[in-house]
Amino acid sequence: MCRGLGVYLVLIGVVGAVGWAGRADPQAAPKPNRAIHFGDIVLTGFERVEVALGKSAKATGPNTTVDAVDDARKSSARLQAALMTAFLAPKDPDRVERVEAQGNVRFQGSRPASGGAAGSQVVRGTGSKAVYYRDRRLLEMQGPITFAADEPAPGGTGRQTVNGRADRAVYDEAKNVLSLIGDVQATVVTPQTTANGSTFSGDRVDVDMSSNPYTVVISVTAPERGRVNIRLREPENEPQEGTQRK
Amino acid sequence: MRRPIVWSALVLALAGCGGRPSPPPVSVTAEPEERLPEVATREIQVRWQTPGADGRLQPELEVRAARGRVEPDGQTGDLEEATGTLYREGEARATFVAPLVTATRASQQLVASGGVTVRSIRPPGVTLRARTITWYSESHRVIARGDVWLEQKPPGARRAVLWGGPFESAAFDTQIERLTIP
Repeated sequence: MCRGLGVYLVLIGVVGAVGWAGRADPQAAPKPNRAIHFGDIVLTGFERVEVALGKSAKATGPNTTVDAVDDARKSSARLQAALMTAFLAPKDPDRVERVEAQGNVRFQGSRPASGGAAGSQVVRGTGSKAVYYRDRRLLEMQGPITFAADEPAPGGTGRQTVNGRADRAVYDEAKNVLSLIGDVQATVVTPQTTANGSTFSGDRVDVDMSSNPYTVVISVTAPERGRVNIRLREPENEPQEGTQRK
Repeated sequence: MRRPIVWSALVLALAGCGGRPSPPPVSVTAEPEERLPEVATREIQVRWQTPGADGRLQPELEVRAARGRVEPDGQTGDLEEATGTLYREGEARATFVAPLVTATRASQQLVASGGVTVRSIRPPGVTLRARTITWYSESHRVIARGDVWLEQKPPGARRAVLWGGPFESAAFDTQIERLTIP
């Protein structure tokens, strides 16, 4: 996971929570209108769509939306952008192989919380370009990107979140790993941290969200490029700050 | 340059063609054609043809209807309870069913209305429904308007691979390979 140069800093036992103010609320989702079911995705919110039957669908409009639901895994993914093109799998034309998105890209994925905890895990991201490999359940997003993930904290008290920005990101939905690449600035908030959370930066940050609490791996190409600032909540609610620079 | 179009309108009073009832059992077989019902169905048929690349005439449009009217010059026909076939390069690409059809040679357009269903032939499995469709033969384009619904279910597919609606309008080519909404 940590390749090549630099110093590797492994933080284990950081995140894992819910409580994200803007998390998905399926009840509040607008009822699809002007919907096109294309393979195993649903296109809505478009102003125009061009379909090459059996091959692809190109949709445009500022709120063009692709929804992909996986009933077996109880997970869902929503991608929004100004321009999106969905391609059917050549050998399985009732499934979409990938979706290419461009312009004000927004992603939101939801799945059951990791570690068997109650509630859901939500991953959000924004960027300028993205490719969602539906068959591989992999999202590649070009930046600058912002990201946020949250789910219930271990023990069921509060939520744990991670959010920040980076040059690009890869979200492996199948492995439940979020990789943030290039000038990463991130903040982790857990019931054990102060409200401002712990901050860290690096050239690459991999967040393994399949574990609860999350496992975070920070990679840097030069010592001065990595920074971790852990702020833990004290019993009397006075934050104890410790800064570690690598 | 506009290609010459050969357009013919045939008003046929067919004895025993199409949906005629089964002839009653008869014992005389010497001249069975003379024993068919005199008039089982009155059918109107409109057919357009156009020269192909080899110069031979090839079908472009066929419409059959139970009732209708064709102008004396054969340029325009208004048909009721019609079924038809759209061709491209001589090959049947789609069929349609419509309560009302107007075929106009001058503009090389066909307008079907009253609730139209179009089904693709090659590739098969595409069905489109709309209140009205207009077919522009020269550009091989079809514009569907009003409560447009579409579905693509290839033969043997477990489920539809594409479906949606209602849309105000949709445009597609004669062979229904490309579709544009709105």
